[in-house]
Amino acid sequence: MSKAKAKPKGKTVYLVVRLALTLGHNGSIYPCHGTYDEDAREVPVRAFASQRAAEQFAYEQNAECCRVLTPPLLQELTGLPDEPINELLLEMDLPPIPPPRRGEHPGRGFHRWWAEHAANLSTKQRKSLEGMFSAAVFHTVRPVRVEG
Amino acid sequence: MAKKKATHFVVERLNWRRSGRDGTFFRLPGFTRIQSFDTQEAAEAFRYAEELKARAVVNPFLGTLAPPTDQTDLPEYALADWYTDHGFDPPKPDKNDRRAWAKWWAKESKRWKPDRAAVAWEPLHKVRFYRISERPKVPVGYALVRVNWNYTDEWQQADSEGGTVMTVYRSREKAQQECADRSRQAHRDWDANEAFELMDRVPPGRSPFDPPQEPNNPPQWGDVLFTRDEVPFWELVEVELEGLK
Repeated sequence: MSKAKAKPKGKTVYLVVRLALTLGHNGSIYPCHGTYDEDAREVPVRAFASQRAAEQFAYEQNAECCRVLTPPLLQELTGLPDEPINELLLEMDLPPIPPPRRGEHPGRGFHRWWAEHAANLSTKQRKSLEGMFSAAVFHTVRPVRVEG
Repeated sequence: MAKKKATHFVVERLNWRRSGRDGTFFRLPGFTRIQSFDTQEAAEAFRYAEELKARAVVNPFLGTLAPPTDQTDLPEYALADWYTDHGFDPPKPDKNDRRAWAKWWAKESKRWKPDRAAVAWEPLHKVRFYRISERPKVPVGYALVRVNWNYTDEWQQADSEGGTVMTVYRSREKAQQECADRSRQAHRDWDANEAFELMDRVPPGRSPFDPPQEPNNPPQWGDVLFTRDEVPFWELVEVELEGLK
């Protein structure tokens, strides 16, 4: 006779977790390492009884994260290559990202570009650049048991 | 008429991090729920006091790529004029038309009394350390998080924040008990000779604007390393439980 599965205790809630982030050298930002045996690197933010409400909150929080970080930092985090950004810069009559210097970490060119040009960007240009990273995902939802 | 949901005012700390020990702070995405208040006035008084503590240690022009664009909506020349009009001597442009704002702040701010410092911060409205959110009064839970430690070939290094979420508890006492039990077990399991580096992780109950945690033993190899008794292995994070009674 097969054993009846023990019903897990507690109620399931939908926990919104943010990707844990760490500072690198020169102000770079990276996802935390997690552990060798599993990939969890999360910061709990808020829990919801409704999955839909949790997903809506995660979506709003992703947008807020994109507003907090400047495009060069978003580029580093998302790994978006220079080419599509350069296409947009060209459309906006702005100079392209300079090629990387010898031995320079990828993405540093956009850091230098930003330091040079950020002050002169119009609100529309800035929003267009930020929009390139609108699909960046910082928050996810996962079911968790709530105990007593 | 639908009854309005009861709300309260939650002070949240924005996710600022101290980079190493050099006094540069960076803002990352995210926030931490700090304390809730029944009135906005009480929340504002608390927020302001905490904001001042942060302002006392942060050079607002460090840690960003394009100062002063990241600190204010004023064009650079207007910011310089603003400081001049208020009795400050702002940095002059160099031959490349760049002003060394961070250097200027580091030098000048040492001389400012609190009232002058408050004036100096006035135009830097993009630099905020805390915020107040009016939130519905909902129950809170306590997420039990296992801190991730990674071996660097010499010592253990903590992930800078978060970890692996195991369970959410509704009872604070139960959560604290579970956290304490697991922490005790972790301390027993780790080798007493193992060294631990906290990186920019903010230990529970502390703020990134506090002085960095000092190890009981002085650094031996130039690196700030802790023993197993000084670092967290498990933490609790308070989270709102929306939609739960």
